[in-house]
Amino acid sequence: MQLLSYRALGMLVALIVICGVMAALTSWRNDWGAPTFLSDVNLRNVLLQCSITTVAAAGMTLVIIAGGIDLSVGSVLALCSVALAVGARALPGAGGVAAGIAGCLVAGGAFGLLNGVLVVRTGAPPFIVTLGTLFVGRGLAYVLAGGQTIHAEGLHAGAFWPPVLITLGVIIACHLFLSLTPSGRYVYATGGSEEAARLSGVPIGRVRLLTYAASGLCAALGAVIYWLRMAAGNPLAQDGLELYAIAAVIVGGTSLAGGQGDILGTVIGALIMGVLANGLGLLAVPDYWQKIIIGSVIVIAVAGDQLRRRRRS
Amino acid sequence: MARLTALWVVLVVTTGMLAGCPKATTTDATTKVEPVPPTPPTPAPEAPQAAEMPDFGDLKPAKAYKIALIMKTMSNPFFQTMERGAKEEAGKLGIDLSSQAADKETDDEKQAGIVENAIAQKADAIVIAPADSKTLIPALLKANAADIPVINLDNRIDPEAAREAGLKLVTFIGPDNASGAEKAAAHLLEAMGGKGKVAMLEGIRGVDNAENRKKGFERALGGFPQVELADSQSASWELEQGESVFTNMLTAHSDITGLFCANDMMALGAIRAIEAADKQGQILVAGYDNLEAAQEKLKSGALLCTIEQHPDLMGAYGVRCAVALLEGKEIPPEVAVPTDLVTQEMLRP
Repeated sequence: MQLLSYRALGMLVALIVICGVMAALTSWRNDWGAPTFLSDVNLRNVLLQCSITTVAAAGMTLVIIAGGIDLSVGSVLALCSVALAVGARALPGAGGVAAGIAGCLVAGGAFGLLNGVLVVRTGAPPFIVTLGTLFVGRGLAYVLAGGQTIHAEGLHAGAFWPPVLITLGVIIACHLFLSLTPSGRYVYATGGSEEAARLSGVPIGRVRLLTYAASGLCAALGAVIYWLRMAAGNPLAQDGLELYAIAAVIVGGTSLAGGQGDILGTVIGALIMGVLANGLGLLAVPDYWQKIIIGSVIVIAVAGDQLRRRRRS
Repeated sequence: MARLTALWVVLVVTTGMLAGCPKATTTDATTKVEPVPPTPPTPAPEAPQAAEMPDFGDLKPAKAYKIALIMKTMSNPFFQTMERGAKEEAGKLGIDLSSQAADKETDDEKQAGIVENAIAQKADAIVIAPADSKTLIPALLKANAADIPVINLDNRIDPEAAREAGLKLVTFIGPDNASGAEKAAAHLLEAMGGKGKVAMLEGIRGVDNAENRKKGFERALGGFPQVELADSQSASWELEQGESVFTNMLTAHSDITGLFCANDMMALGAIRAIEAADKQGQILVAGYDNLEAAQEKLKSGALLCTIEQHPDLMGAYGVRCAVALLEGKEIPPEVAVPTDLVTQEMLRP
């Protein structure tokens, strides 16, 4: 079994080139005299800053490979972050934290299942279903939070390892699931050709349900990271996360049409966007230009891939 | 059959949501949700009295300090003006200012990342208008740990949460929202002849500046016992909400003669509602923020008055306080930026 597709290998090279450019630019334009991009503290910052997108994008990869899409991840994350903060306040000490995390994971998994059931049972386009649940989730987060950010008292937030370990765990779990388990192969089969998968006995309904539930769980783990980073549950958190997650998946070489792609590609996609955002920030590139540059990279990555694919076929 | 019914339910739910989507999310945030929270209005700021900006004399920084100005978003003119003021001050003092903002007003995690970047770049001081009054605390604690002083602008970091987390802030530099709102409301109530029915459109409830503007309004109202308060509701700072909430208020109280809005965007929405109800000239409207669009309405007379908050001064004060601190001067724990009443007569021709 091949660890990385040729496409993902190409993106890995692109990532390394972008890192090199950022390292060169930040030490050349060294206005502030500090070793910047490649410094220990900054590399840690890069990992922290793309942890939430990476986790959400890992779940999104499963959904997209199975031929679906999940627009609700940002809202689910906000809802879960509020559930976590509310739970953690309900009980004192470690019991509260455990209750909060349990509530958060249950909320995320349940919301994902709801997405899956709606998509599978009604046959409605996943784009529409999850667009609807995007609003429902955000609304529920506001209701549960009473419209306010809930501060996590006594939480020593801002540590490096917990968010990074959660992210690593999600990456490894999703990668092993996709590449080693029969269910993982069913995910590819379902997204590749639904009809063929059905005829060969793949339980496509259950497979899709599973991918949406996984995406909801990933959003919940993203909420745990948010909580660890920001020491709060926030109904406004991560508005627009779905777009970054989808972009990471696409840049990472997973086809929106379903049936192909991999987690490691997605991780590289998320890192490319994270490194760009971090490096451009260090260079004090105005926010407007950061948007233009990051957007262009997405278009170039996808267009280049399409052109190459067409030439090959 | 059951499947068909389910399909219908989904169709109805999703289309309903799509039709009302932009409003639905925000109304939920404020008006409908409002009875749920057991949260106190705002932690009574046991913060010290705001002082006027101290005169630090002729500041001549020993070196070109690196100061990071971190704002909410550059797509809001308020922060563009704040940045301009800060840059001018930095130019005068000959220091190195880097200004950055998140792409959205609500993107607190991105803003936390900018704080982390400033720490990695070993800034001498961080001057921040935080996107959220609580969630930036962990990132700012990292600045504390790196011995980088933090100056809080515009939106106050929740004092209670900060104390609980052990966060040290040099000072809070913000507009005196209560006195600004009091000025505008008093001008409005006077123009109403000190009688009749008045209403208020509030900002997002529970947020510091929204609560203080409401407080200022109530303070002004206390001086006019003949004026009756018809209704006071949140319109979430938004234009469209301002229009719809005030349309409903007018339906319930057709005899309102004055309206105070906690920002200009809501005032502009309310003016649309007044025009739609064909009540031009019968209802006086006061706003807050002195936006360019509001100035046009001031000229045409649709808006009675608004409040200038001087975001440029806020940015400049932030930079100046940071430099003064680095030069070993004493900084008061809170600095008020003056607000000014703007009326038609005061507009430059």
